[in-house]
Amino acid sequence: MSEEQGAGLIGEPRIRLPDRARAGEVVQVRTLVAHPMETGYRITTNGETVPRRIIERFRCRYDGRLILDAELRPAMAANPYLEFRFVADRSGELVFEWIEDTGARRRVRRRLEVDEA
Amino acid sequence: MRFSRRRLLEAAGAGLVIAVLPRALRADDLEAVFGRLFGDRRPEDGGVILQVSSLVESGNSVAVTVRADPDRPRPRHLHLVMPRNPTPWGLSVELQAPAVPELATRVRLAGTQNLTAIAEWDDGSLGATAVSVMVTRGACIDENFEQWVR
Repeated sequence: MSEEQGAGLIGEPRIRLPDRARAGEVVQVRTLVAHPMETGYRITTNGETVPRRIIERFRCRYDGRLILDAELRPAMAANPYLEFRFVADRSGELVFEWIEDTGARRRVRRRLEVDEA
Repeated sequence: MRFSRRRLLEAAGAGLVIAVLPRALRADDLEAVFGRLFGDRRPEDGGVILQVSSLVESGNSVAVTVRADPDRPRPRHLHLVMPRNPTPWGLSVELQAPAVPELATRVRLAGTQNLTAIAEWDDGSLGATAVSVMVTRGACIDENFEQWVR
């Protein structure tokens, strides 16, 4: 489960990542989080502008090191999907964090065990 | 030579394509974004690999993969620019070792345009690759008549 600090519209993230890897192995991470990524450009049938509300930041720390820091903008599709890879060099905790433009955020922690080659 | 109805339609179709293309491929849209993101710096061609379908039915969610050219030193940032979106600067990501300098995601495209990926190195140099993506139905034009407003 994720930690919430007032999660805003950020849904429960889904993360695919192995629990174990060999040292030097390239590990794939796939993340998906429910969020409308409201652009601020949409107008309802009543003529009202739907206010902008986006996840503006996604970060991943691996054993304390910031390995990915993404700035997201309205051109990102709803329910932001981000897929990346990293070299598993040591056991440690991966911390994934999504931050909404309201300051609301969600954080998910996952442990990766790396077997020495 | 007599003009058949078919030939006339073909000619009209060709005219339409010529009329639409310059708008889709206009470079000055990109200039404004480059100015905002990079100041006076402008990217050279290449240094980054962009994978995206050249024809998509819906602009609401378009799968994109950006990766650094493995034959060049590792860039610090990767950027994605959608020149014809209302907010053309779409994504910036900083990837540091041991992360591999690549990212796959899904973006919105307001219409047919040259999706552009940019790599940025520590010394400030830039490399860009553009792929023309034809979008049958742009993002955010949905069944509720909600629409983009510029």
